[in-house]
Amino acid sequence: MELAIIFIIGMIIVIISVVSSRSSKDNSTSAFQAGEGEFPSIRVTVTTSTQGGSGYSDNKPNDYKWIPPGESVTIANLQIPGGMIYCGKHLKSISDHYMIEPSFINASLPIDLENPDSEGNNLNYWPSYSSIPQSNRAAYLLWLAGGRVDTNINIGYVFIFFYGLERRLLNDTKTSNVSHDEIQAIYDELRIMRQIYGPLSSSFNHYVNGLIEVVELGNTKGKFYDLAVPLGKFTYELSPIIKLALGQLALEGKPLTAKWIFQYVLHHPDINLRTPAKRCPGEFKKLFEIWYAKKFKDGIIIKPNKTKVKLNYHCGNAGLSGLNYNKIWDIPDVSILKSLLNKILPIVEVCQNDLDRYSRWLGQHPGEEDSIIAFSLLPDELASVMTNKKVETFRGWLNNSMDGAEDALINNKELIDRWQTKNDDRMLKSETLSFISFLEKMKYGIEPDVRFGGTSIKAPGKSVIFKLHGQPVSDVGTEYLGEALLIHIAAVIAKADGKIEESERSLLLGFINKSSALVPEEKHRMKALLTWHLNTDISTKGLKKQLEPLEREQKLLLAEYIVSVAGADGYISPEEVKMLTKLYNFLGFEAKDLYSHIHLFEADKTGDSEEPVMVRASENSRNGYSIPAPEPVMGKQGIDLDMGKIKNIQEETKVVVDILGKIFTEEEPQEEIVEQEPVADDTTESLQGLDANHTAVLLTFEAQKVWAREEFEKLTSKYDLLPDGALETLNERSLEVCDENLCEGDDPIIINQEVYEELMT
Amino acid sequence: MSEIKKIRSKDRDAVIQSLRAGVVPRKGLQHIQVGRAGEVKALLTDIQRITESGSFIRLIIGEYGSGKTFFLNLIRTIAMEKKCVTVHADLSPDRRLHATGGQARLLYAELMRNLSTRPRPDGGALSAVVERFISEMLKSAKNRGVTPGTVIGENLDCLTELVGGYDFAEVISAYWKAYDSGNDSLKTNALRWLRGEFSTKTEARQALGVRTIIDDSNFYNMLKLMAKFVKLAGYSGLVVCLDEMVNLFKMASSQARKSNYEEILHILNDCLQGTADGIGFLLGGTPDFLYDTRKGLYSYSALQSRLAKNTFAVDGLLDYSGPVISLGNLVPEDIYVLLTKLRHVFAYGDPGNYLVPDDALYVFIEHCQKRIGDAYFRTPRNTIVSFINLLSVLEQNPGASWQTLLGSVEIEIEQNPDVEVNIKNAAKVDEELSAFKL
Repeated sequence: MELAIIFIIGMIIVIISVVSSRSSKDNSTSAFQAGEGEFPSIRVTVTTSTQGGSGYSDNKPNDYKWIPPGESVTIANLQIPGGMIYCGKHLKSISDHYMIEPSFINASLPIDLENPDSEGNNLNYWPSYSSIPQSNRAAYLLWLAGGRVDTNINIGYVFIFFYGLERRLLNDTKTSNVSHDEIQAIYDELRIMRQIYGPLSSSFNHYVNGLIEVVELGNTKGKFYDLAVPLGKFTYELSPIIKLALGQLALEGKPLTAKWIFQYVLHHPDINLRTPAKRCPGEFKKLFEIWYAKKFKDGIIIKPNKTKVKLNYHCGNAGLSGLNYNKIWDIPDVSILKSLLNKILPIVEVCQNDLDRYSRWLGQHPGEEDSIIAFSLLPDELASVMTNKKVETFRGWLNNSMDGAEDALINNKELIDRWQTKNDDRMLKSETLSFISFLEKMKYGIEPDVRFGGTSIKAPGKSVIFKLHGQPVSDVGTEYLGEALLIHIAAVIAKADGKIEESERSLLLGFINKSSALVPEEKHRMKALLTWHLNTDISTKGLKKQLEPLEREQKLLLAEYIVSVAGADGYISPEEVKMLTKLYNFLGFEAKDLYSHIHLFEADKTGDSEEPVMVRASENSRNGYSIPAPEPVMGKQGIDLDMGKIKNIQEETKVVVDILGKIFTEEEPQEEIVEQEPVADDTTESLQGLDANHTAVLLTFEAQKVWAREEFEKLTSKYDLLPDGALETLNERSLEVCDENLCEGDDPIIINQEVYEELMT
Repeated sequence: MSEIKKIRSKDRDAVIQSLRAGVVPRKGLQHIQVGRAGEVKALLTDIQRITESGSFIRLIIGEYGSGKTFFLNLIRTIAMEKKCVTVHADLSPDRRLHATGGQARLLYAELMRNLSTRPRPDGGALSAVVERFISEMLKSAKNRGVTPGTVIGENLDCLTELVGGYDFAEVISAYWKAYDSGNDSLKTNALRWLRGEFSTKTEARQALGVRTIIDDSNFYNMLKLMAKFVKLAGYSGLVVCLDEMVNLFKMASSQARKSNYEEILHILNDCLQGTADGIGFLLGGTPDFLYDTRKGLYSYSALQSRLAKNTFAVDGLLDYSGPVISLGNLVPEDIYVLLTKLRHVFAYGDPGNYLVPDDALYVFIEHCQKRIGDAYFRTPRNTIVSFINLLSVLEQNPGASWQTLLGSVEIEIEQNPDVEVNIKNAAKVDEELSAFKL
């Protein structure tokens, strides 16, 4: 025993001389601001104790030595490498003289190396070497001897060791000359310990971080914001370094960089990070940086506030209470500003929400971060900056399939084969949704889209993939759905005759282009939908249900519209009529109404309408289905005649009257030059182009104006004429000349005197 | 202002009397035609075509009250002015294009009874046509010094190429013989045969010595023969007007309907392919007759493509060469123009004699509108009758003011006969339902 004590004292003397000589060389380089004090005079007293330690000290003088970093010491035949422990006979705690320094290894205390208790279940919250049972002390010493790396050990032992470092750094540097190298060595040790034991105990992590900060911040000469960010993932405590970095940036009028703001996010007590941020920290960080840059470019510039950054380190070592480290920098603590938090919180929320689906999927499919589906679930902002081999393959195939066109019809089977699906022949709705979101990331859209009235992707079947030109439409207005319905119906009609005329297609495209209710992206989508409708087997399934809620007036307009679509190619075919009949039934109209509408449509086209294909312009409303409003009904209240229309009708009437006039009005009798056939009869005269026989009959009328049928027959037979034939010929002639019949009635036959005279002149 | 064209009192009276009686005038239509220049032009071209030995077929489609009959009459009148012979008939359950029970023959008979020429616009002109032909033949025979029988035979020789042509020629010859021999009964029989009034072959054989008669099976062939014949008789061609085609649509038996549509197809093909000669068809019907895909013409697939409109006739280009002419419904403005025309006719075409000012027309329309609603322009028959009556009273009582008279003008709502039947049926069902008890 005595030998040991003598040895220890000898060692202490050696160390002191070494340390003091070194401190006299390096005293100006010490980072510790408070570290320039003198070491207290050391009096080594040798006491003996055969008892187990109580942790309580009687007020006797200290008798110990600090084993500096790198040096070994042998205690109870155990060689303990690395140093950085207090040992000796007696060391009082700083704050309480009746208390033994918890980390102090009283080599005289018994240890039970036979039964080391590394589990240390009986260790209390503030363990102290002196007060723990000998089996625990054995475990502690064995741990120290093992190089302080064994993780199968109660954290309490780690704390005992840590207390010593705390004391050395916070106390001894004030009272004695601790070299910069030693501080550096202790700092390195702290970082190693944090790495090994930080993850095992949040409490330890907290203390060790705190102490590291004290060392770091106390030693920082340059800019805080140039420092590396602290390790450690999420805490609810902003470490001073973050505050200092941010504060210094603010003070210098520089933008708060994403690097430090992200630390702020990770550690701010009022920012509650949810699973997405925790499960995918890398993606979260990237996404946050993207969003932060998007919103604030280089960063938020904030006005320095008055509150300064403080560092309070509460020692873990119970024997050091009261010796807490407090430091105030002349740097504003912007982290406490609510305004800053309010700017950051929304971004954090967005990022977390955007990562939600990705995170959830990863939760269900751990380890599949590089799958195409995982990629598809990434927020657009991330997807555009990240690359994925599988995705690139898909993109190549798609580009090939599109062949430079705006849209392309693609077999669903091909899509399903390229996607991770549960079934071979279809995507579930959720799978379809993730596929759609994936496509959108590739700047493509698909129709029919399950979100906008389409169905899930199924084989056999086809879909239209189309290029997206702006932001993908995440939601569509009721106008879109209304017009999609119209397009559906219209396509049904246009296809009813088994072929699509270019005129029908352009009518529908024109309808989409002219729609004032749709935004450009919706128009693109609608065109793709049209392509799909026109190129696939179309059905009227579900239409009835969609049409039912419409107002009667809207239905009427819709009805007229679909007739005009059917007639766009100039002809409403029977197949189209059949389909129209069906749709009219859906709309609650009868076939008879349809025939009327078709007829009116045709009449408009062939009649006096100036616009044969009349599709009324849609009204500019964002409410409800955008179906053109009816024209005011004529004459409902009072008489409201359209003078322009009257004028048109009058003009057209004039045209028709002219035409008719040429036919009906009495033309001046043209004296036909009739080639007179040689007549063997005694009559030689010929009147009004009549032949000799008829002229003869005509001349007979001079004397007699009323003829009984029998008489007349005799007369005609005399001239080789048949009575009715003669009447016909004579009357026809008189009509031509006088516009009236010469002979009226059958029995008797009356000669019109006026006409007769006119004929004879 | 253009110079005042006086309207002849005969035309004026004819128009006014017909309209007053609620029927379409046969004369002076040109004075009251409103609009429809395109359609009239198209039909005019058609008629021109048959005078040049062409043919045409038109489906005149219009709603009840849209003026189909007026339009058909107008075209018929134009045809007669152009020296065509016209035949017209309404289809009915007893009169069809194709039948096995004599209904087609009855339609033929009705057409022949209504055979009209310009001098005989009211029908009954068949004998005149036949006699005119024979008169020509007689004259020719005399000139050439051969027997009339020979000339008739020569001239009708071209008919014998056609189905039934031989007997047709025989009957015409018989008519001449009857005339020649003063055999009135033979003459009557010949006319009866031509009118399709023989119902059995035996009877015809006994009467005329011919082996065929006009019956259900040769309806269209006989029309074609008649068309050729009227040309031989010196007319420009034959225009056949068939109205109320909707009666085909209403037939219960789908087989019968189909047969009738086949007949239409047959006619249509002939006309469009130019096989027919000097004949034109006007078929008047309602939209359902055409468009109904179960029972209308559209139900008969072979007809569909032929009824197609010209595909290029869109976007302001009009084409009236397709077989379907759709007559639009009348609008209030049409009625207004029509009233101005009636006023004009009433004043013999002299604006100085107008019985009422423009204001009165408005007030009158308003009055009608109040009384019978939109029917005043949709089915304007009664509106026109009332207006004519009003003008008549004003004319006969020069002191009376139109304002006072207007209040007492009564107008009745005109019912679409089809609708009426439906209403009656509905009422019947209602009765049945109300009588039904649990």
